Amino acid sequence: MYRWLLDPETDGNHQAAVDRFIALLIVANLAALVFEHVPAIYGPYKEWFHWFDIASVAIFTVEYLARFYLAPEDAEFAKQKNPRLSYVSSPFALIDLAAILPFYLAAFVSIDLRMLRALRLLRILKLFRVLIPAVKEFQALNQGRTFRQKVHALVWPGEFGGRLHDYFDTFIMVWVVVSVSAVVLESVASIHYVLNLEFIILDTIAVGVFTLEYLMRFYSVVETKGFRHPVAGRLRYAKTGNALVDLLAVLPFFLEAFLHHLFDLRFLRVFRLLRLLKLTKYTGATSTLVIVVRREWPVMAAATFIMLLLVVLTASLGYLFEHEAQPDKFENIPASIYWAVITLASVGYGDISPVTPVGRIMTIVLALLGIGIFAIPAALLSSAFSDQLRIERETLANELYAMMADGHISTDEQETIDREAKRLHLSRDEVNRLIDKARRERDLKDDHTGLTITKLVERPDIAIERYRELVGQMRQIALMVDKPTMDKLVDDPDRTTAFERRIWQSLRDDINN
Amino acid sequence: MQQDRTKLFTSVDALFLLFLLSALLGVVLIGHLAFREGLKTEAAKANAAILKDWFDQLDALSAKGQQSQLEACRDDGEKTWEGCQAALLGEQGPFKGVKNPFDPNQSVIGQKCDRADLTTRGVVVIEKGTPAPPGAPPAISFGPMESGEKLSKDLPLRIMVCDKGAYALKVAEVKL
Repeated sequence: MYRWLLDPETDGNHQAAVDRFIALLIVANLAALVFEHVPAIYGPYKEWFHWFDIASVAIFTVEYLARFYLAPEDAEFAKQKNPRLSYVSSPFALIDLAAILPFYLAAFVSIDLRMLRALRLLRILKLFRVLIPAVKEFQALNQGRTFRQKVHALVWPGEFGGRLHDYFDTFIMVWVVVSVSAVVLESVASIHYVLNLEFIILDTIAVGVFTLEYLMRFYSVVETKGFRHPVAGRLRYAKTGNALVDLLAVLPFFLEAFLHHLFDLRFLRVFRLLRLLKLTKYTGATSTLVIVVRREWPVMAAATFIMLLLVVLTASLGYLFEHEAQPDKFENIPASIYWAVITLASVGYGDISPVTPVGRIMTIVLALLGIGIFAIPAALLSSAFSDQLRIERETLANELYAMMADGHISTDEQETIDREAKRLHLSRDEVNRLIDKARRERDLKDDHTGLTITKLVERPDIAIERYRELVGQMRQIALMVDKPTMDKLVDDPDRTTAFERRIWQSLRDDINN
Repeated sequence: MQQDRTKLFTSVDALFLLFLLSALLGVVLIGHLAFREGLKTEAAKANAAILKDWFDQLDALSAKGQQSQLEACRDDGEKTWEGCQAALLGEQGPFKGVKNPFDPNQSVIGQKCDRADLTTRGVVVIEKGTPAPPGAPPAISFGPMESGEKLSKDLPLRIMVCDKGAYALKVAEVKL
C-alpha cells in the first residue's frame, strides 16, 4: 500500500497524484477561508462551506492515519526503534496534525470562530511536504552556482530547475487563471458590487506575483544563450513577445495608480485579460501556429490579397448600384465596405441589404464567391497545422528509433520523450505505440546494420552477432557466385589486398571441405 | 552589471534584491491606496443602503396604511423632491450626520454621477422611473429626479451610488 500510494521512489505509482490532490485541496481550503469572510457569499452557502470543511478534514485525517499506519514501510522511519512514534514526532506529521486538530478540538472545547478560522490557515503549511523536497533537490542541483544562476534555474526551463521550477510555473499559471477569472467576474455588476474589496486585494497580489516574475526573468535572462550581454541582452529580451506580454500584464495597475488623476484609465483594466497570453509560454501550440503561418505565408498573402480585392470591388459595386436607392446606408465606399465584408463572410446581419434588382443579383454572385474565397485561409491554416503536427510526430518517431538503436531507453532519453510528448499533446498510449513501433522496426532490422561501429564496439554481445552475420553472408557469396570469374577478380592485385585474398581462400577451402 | 563568477552572491545581486523588494513595496503601497479608495466606495454603498432601508420601512408603513414620519416626503402628489431631499438630510431624516466618504464637504445626495466631475464621487443618486410604452423594453426607464418633481404614490425609484471614478453603481430599486 505504501509503494502504491505514498512512496516517491516507486515509478508509476499514485504518489504524485495523491500529492497533487492534497495540494489542490489545500488551495481550495484557502479559497474557502477567504470567501467565508464575504457575508454575501458565506451567508447563503453556509451549509456548503461547513460540509466542505468536514470533507477536507476527513480527507486530511485519512491521509494522516495512512501515513501513520504505513510509517514502518517508509525508509525515513523504518530504521527507527518505533517507526510510528518517530513519524508522529516528525515535523511533517506535526504540520499534518496541526491542519486537522483545531477541527476536533472545536467539538470538545468552545473556540472562537475567528480563532478557528485563523487556525485553519495552518493547513497551508501542509504544502511544505511538497515544497521542502523540491527545495532540497534545487539546492543539490545548484550547488556552487551563483545567485543569478539560481534565479535563472528557478524561472527559466533547464536542467538545474528540477521540480521547484515546475512548481514555480504552476504557481504562475494558477495566478494567471485566478486573475483573469477575477477580471471576467468584475464585469458582472452584481458580483463586482459585492466583492469590490476582494477584487482589489486579488489584483494587488496578482500584480505583485507577476512583477516579481518579470523582474526575476529580466535580471537572470543574461544566463541564457543569446542574451549574455548585461545591457544589450536584457534590452533584447525586453523586446521579445513574452517579455512584452509580461510587462502588459502589470502595466495597467501602475498606469492607473499614477495617471488616474489626469485621465480616466478604467478602460486599461480590460488589458489585464492579456495576462492570459502569459500561458502561451507553457504550451507549444502557439509556436507551432507561428511556424505554420510563416510556412504558408506566401499562399496566405495571395489569398488575403484576393480577399481584399474582392471586398473593395464589392463595396464599390454596392455603392454604384445602391447609393441612389439607399443614400443613408450606402453613403460612400468606406461605408459599403462593412456591407461587403458581412456579405462575403456569409455573416449577413441584414441591417444593410440591397434593394435594387442589379444589387441583389450582384449580392447572389458575391455571396457564392465569398464562401470559397473566405474559406481558403481557414482551410490552408487547418491543413498546414495538422501537417506540421504530423511532421513533428514523425520527427519524434525518428528520434525514438535512434534512441532504440542500443536496445534500451535511458533516463535522459525518457525525459526527452516525455517532454516532446507533452509538447505534441501525445497521450501515454500514443507514446507507447510509437516506442513499440520503433522496437519492432529495430527487431526487423536485426542485422544491426543500422548500428555504427562506435555503438557496436560498446556492445560485444551485438558485435558478435554482427560478425557472425557478415561471415555467413561471405560464405553465401562463396557458395553461390560464379567461382572461376570470382577467382580471377580476387587474384587481381589492383582489386584486393593480400589479406582479403587470404580470407577468400579460406572460404573456398571451407566450402570445398 | 558583469558578475564576478568567483563569488556566489555579489553586490549586484544585493542591489537586485533591494530593487525587487522596493518594487514589491511599491505594489503593496499602490494596492493599499486602492484598498482605501475601495473602502470609501464601500462607505458610500453603506450610505445608499441606509436610504434603501428607509424606503423599505416606508413601504412597510404604507402597507399598514400609514404615512412617512417625514412630512416633506409624503406621497400626496403635492410634495416635491427638493423638499423631501432636504428632509432626508434634516434632523429627522435617515441621512442626519451622514457624510460623503470621498469629501465630507460635498453633499451626500446628488442628481447624477458625472465621470467628468469627481466631486460627485460617493454621492447617492435617486433616479425616477418612467413606465415605457407597452411592449417597448425595458418596462421602466430611469432618469434624473428633478428638484420640482412631485412625489406621487408608488413612484418607482432607483438608488445609485457614485464610486471612486464617479461611475454609477446600482444599489436597489424601490417604490415611494
